Amino acid sequence: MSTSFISRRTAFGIAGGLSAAVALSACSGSGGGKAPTKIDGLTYVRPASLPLDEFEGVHLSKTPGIAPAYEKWPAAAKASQQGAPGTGGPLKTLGPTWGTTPPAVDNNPWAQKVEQELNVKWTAGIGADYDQVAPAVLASGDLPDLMFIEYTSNAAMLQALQQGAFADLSPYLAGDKAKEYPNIAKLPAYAWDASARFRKTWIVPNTLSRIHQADVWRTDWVKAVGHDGADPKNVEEFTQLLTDIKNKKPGKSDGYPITTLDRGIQIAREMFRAPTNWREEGGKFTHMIETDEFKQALQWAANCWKAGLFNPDAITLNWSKEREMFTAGRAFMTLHKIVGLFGSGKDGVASKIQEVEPTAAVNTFIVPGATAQGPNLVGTSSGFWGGAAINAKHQKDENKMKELLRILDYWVAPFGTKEFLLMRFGVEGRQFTFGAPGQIVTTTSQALLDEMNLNTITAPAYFYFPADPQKGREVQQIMEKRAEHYLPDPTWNLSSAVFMQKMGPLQNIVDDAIRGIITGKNPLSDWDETIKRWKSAGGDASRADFEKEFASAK
Amino acid sequence: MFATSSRRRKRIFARRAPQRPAWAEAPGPITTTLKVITLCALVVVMLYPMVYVVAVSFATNRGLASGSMFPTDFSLAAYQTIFASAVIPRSLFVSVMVTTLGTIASVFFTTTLAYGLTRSSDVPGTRTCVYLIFFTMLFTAGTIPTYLLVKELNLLDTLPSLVAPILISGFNLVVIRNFFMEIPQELLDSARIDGASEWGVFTRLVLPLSKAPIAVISLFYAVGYWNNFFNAMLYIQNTSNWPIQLVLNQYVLQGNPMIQTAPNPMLAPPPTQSVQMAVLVVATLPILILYPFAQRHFTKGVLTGAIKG
Repeated sequence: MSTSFISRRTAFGIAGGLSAAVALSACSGSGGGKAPTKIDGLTYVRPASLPLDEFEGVHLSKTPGIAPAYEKWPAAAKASQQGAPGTGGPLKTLGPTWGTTPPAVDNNPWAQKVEQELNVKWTAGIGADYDQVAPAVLASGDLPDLMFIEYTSNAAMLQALQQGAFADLSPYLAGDKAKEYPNIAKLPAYAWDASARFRKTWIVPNTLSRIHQADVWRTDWVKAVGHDGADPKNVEEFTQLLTDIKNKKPGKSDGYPITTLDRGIQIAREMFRAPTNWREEGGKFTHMIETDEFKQALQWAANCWKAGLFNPDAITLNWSKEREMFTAGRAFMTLHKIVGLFGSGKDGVASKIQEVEPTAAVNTFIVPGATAQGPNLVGTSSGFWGGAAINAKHQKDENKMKELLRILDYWVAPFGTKEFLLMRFGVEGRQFTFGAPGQIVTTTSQALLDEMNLNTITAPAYFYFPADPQKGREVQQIMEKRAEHYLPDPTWNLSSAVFMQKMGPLQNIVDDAIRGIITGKNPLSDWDETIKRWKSAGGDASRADFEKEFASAK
Repeated sequence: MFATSSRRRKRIFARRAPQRPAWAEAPGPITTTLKVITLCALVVVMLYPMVYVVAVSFATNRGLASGSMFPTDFSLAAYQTIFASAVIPRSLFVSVMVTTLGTIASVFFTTTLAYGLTRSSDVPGTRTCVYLIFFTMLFTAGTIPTYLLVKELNLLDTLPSLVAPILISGFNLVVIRNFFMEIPQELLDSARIDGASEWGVFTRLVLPLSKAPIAVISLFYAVGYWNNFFNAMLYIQNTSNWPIQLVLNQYVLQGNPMIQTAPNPMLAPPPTQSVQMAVLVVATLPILILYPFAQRHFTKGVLTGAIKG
């Protein structure tokens, strides 16, 4: 019987403290902002960040927080590691599945190739509904060697971190020590800062671009109603555009330019520059719902409801239904992952719409700002979504820790290396082949691609669209343009267990009030009462948590 | 006119024998017509979602986007997508095996336990056992304690973890126990006098007389095992041991807005609505095929075990 790292009582404590599986909405991306540097005499030292290799077809963005874009595979891809990282022993991993179910290692030729390259005996675990499975695994104490953890939205994983379930990677990665693992050292600084907690580095982050979603509309409808298709210059012009969509019903439009209440308030928040979740001034935190900007956004949305710009079913329609309607060519706009919008040709939403309506034109747009400062766009993130953590039981074995870090170094190898090709595109001749020089042609067999869904514990961020080499740079440019118009969330690298546990009920208070005010059931003056209820239900306690941790970072 | 209508009323009432109430009479043509119309409307309301699900599962994107009541174009793409997955054949095998063996094991342990619990007069502690079983019907340990128990029994990542935690259902036990208690004791005593062992009495008398309720609980168990994906999700990380419901669940989860808004670039695009409907069809079809064969026993057995006692 293995010794659990936590006692039964603590296990039940974690279980008792679990909130229901809560996923972040795209509008409340977490992470990022100012990195804590010194607390209680302890210094957080960021792992060294080395520049990525440059070769033909690489576009390294000058905008902080945007991933590199690639047009082609380098002619001379080389191995980034000398020799296999493993020592032939067992390796147990646990990660989520982002796509359809992969076959287990025994029936998975791709995984067997990875085993061979890593020189390990790999047992790859998959958690089907990770928010349910991970807390149970944590409570059991029987953790794998490497485990994907996401502690910005899951209170159980944050608690496990605090209680020592995972190894502190700072002794191995702080500062120049990270250079011993050249691929890990090429992960961007913003991802390290965002993923640090309690002044330590705990994971090899699963890196993202800071911008990952965009407002998307039907450009053909915009032009059909007499606008030029460019981004609206001010709120009045945008409101007039929506009114014209309603009155003229271009294409298969249902005549309601705003499909859901969420869409309406999200667009309004952006225009009136409500902060991204929280605002920090002089160490004091103000939530976005407490700001004048948010109140102005509510007023605009309520006016739109009165003008009939909302779908009558907006109260019951959700984001999933909105996306379905957008893909079916009935909705005017939505918020969408930029990568998923274009996909790899047929995968992308834009292609799916054109299957139904060949003349449809879909593109991203930037809402106008209500003031000269411009909008504050949503669809941002801290720069990471979880990452790979090492089981704390290995902490005392330096050789084992280094072996596992070498394995993770292999896992996050950047574009242009042989390790990346295997981990992200598969086995040559099975999951992909090389077409024209520098172009990867992926297989159309979903079953073969599913084999690689065991690689989910961590990854580097990049843009590369095999079916459309120029698309990577195009997506990067969209993100760079949107990056000019966002305010970082000051809580991105802070933690509040209270906020995570209360997030659901607090959001319900806000959602109910927004629904009532936008639909005209309640007056805008009721919003102050909502704020009071929000504060007493956990808002103030969350604020206190964040302010305390922020202050200790100074 | 009043006199005419009162004569008519007398004729109507004169048809019915004085001691028969109105509702016992055969319905008239108007009543019959209204009943037929109402029942047909109910059938349409109940059937429409099921037919829609099947129709959408065979639809193309264009058909779905048309917004018509039923997509009319035909495509097998959704089923091809699902069955193209390498894990589907294995997961189907796992589901069939777990359902079959689990049902057999559950019926065996449920019937033997229920028979033992009918012997309250000569087996001490039966009443306490019954109360403990009732307790488990009202209160459950919860996800984490059950997970810890399965872990301590070394069942994690094994197929028995899909059977052991739900081997005996308190509800099914009560149903079958009640039925056993209705079997005349004189019949069983006469068998014992003739020299039959307790096992012989159970297998040669009690079980043959209990075919209806056993069919009922078998169906309950089979449906439960077939549909259960939560235990697999929690206890099994090796995808080779995932049942079909869990594999198909991934298609549905991908379309989950919570998953889609998570900022992860590796996320696959959500499947089309037709794929999700095809998932529903594949997941429910085996039970739909099995149910008519068990229906005869089902209606008889449910009433027998549940009402009496």
